[in-house]
Amino acid sequence: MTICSLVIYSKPENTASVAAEVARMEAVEIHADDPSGKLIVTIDHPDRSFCSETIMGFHGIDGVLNTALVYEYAE
Amino acid sequence: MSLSRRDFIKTNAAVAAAATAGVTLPASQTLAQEADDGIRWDKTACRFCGTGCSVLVGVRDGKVVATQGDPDAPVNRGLNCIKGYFLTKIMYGKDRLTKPLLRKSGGVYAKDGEFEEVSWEEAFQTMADKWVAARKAKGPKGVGMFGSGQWTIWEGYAASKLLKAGFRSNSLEPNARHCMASAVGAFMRAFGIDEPMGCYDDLEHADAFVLWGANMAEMHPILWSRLTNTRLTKPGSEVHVLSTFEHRCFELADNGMIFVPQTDLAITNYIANYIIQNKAYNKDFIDAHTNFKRTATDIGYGLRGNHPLEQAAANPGKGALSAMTFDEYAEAVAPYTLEYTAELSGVPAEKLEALAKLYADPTKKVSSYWTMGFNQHTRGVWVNGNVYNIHLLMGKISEPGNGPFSLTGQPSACGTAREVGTFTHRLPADLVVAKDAHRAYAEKIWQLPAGTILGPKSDEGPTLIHAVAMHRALKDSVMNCFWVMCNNNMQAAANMNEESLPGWRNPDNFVAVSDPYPTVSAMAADLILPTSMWAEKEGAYGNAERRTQFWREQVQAPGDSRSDLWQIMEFAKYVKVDDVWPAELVAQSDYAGKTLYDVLYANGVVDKFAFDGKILDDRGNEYENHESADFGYYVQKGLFEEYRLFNSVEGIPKKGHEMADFDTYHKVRGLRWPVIDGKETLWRFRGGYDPHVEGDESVVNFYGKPDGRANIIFAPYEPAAESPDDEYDLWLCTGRVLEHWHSGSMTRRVPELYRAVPDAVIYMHKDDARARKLRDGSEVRISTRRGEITTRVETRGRNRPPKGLVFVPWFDASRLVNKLTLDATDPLSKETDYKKCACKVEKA
Repeated sequence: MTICSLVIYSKPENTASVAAEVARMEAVEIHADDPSGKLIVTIDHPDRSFCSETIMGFHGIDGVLNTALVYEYAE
Repeated sequence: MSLSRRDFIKTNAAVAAAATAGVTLPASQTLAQEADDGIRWDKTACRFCGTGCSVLVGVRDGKVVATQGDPDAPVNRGLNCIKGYFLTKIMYGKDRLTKPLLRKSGGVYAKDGEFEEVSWEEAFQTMADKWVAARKAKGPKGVGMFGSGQWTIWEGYAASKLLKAGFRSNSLEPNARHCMASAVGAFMRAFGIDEPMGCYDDLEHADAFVLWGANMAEMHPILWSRLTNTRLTKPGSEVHVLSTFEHRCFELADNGMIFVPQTDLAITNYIANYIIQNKAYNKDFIDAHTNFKRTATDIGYGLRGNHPLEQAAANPGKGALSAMTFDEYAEAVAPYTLEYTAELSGVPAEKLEALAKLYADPTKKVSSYWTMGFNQHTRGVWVNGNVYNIHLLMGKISEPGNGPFSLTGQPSACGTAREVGTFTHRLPADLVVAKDAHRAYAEKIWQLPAGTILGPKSDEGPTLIHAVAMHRALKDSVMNCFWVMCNNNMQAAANMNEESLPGWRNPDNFVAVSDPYPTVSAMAADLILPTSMWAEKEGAYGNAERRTQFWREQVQAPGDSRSDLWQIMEFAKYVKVDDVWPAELVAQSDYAGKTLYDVLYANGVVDKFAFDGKILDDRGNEYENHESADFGYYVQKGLFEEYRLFNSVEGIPKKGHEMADFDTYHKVRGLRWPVIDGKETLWRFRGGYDPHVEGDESVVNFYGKPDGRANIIFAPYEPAAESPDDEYDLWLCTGRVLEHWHSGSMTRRVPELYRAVPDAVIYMHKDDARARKLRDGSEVRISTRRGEITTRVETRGRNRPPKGLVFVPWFDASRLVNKLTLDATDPLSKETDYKKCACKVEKA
């Protein structure tokens, strides 16, 4: 089991489209968004590799400026 | 695991992220922190870049089970980048080295033998025999050590003692020569003291950011998060990005500029000219706090002396400064008009003017950032200085939000390489071997007879030798023994085919490499020493904003691995003072018959703190410390406290680098020096912030210079060492990508990072590809005058070069781009230019 949380940054005008795309991704949950362009998300998946590839996938979404990981639990 | 427990962890994860980002979560999601479940949490400093993030590591049963960006860390405020996510995985690559390996044939060492497992005793005895013989036969340059900006502070300090005092050799260099030497040179010339005056707090205080040759989005992602946050939330803030190709930072840029390589020298002078022509300069500041100088020009390219470019240079290697007036400076920059600079640089005039206006606007607080684009530059010292000129002309320096800031690429390029002084010409705390008083001070602290430490000119000949010259010296059999620690120089050093590999494999030479993994360097060595890395030892790093940070040993290293610190100190037991010092010098001391270990480390200072078998934190947790257990005293504390005798006591030769005591750093999330009476310094040279400057915030004193004034130094545009021509028709630029750090020796062993970016591709413009009948994915041969490699074309990736330039990352051990690069260096800083040479690209 791996659970991790991240902040995803985007320009405010792109946050809605970024959020829509993030929401479609497997094992990803959006917990909050912020008008300045920040999304708080978690990834929950048995496979740590899946989580990391998902994180890297965020960078491929149009409008994503940066992602930052905060917490990870793996066992 | 129950569903409720999973939800609990997930909610905690979300709460941590939201708190970090300053975002409010719906009330139902907030929960109290859970109990720790038998996990021992402790802080560590990240192993990768120079940002210096603090990462919490959770250990249970001797294994890392959880990590978290440290919410109490002022640097990263709980955030982590993708490499930080995998930080703990770097210790668990499948091919970790666990035994010393020596090339042998028929049971004895042989240069052309195969690697066989040996004991540490055999490894060090073989090595010591070679080192003693080389020191005797070839003098101080006969032996050499190539260390690292990834060494812990005490590793660098112990190595400095081993070479400069023990072997009486100045052949000690860090790989930071390849990354930070130009920054150091420019700091010393302009301010007389190394490292940035500002700090990361500028990321929130500034109104505008200018990136000069730094891809922060990929190389310093956490600083980029802070900068992004300011840009998104502060009305009127703006971001200007300059680069020789388009990269991820351009997505946030309000003014993105692609310039022709090397023309940054002209652009910086244009801005100075604009400021003067428009009388925007801060006359009071200039009059009170600066001097004007010009630097010698036509200084060559740091190549071998017989190279035509060196023969053609009027003043090869010359760094002399001569005085000039403000009016003469104005005249010198006057040719850098908007029209001329736009034409030369290829940047549209309106974009250049927007940048100049930003700097010239007295109401805008501007922070400038750069990394390797400026430092790996044959005029690196000059171009660093040109940005200082702009900030000094405007007085936009040493105050919140205003300042030039040189970012670093390694976690302790500042803390170890620069502050400890593991360069050939340096001693701890900005002291230099060229000054009699500095050598005498070091000899006093280290309890050595007068004359032990050699100046640049000694009875045994010249002693200084920089990193690039070391490989040349190995090839020429001037240096016969070389110890490479904590870096991968066979993959890093430029012009591998013509210099590095012939040097290492020269039958006269014995090369040892200490590394956790069988890197390109390890495989090219004669002796491989398995190394305990990062959290497998107690450590200390100093980041780019002068912050010193400590961590404790968290987990045990595999097999017979030993830390670099243990290796340096243990090796010293195999060499006697009498083996490497002349009899007259030994006679001046009572060291006859003693080992270097006895003299350097068991000296009553380094070994004075007791170790009772375990390290305790102030929460009652226990940690191991293998070096202290082995040597029988608290090694790291003894070394650090001796180091502080260079920077933090009465009577030191150079003030301004003061540090807190050892125990304090284990309690805090780092402190930015100078630290006096427990208080750190955010902005140096400014009253109210810097304890060395008396008065309030209106007072500025550049106290690194005797007259308290910084130098504005005119340096012109001069062309690159090698530019595209008819045959080699493209600029070749090398660098990094987000997923991999430096040569990839750690990140390529993390399966997820390897899979994400397995190979180094060549990024090129689609028109350049089409003209060569190439498309995305085509296999190509890239060649220069020095070598060739093959790889695949990428025209739509994250990096978008302009026509005429290609970019190839250097992390890929299977495609060594350093076979292509030219070993031209900045003649002043001796730092290689990895960003500019000429290549051609053909279908393979």
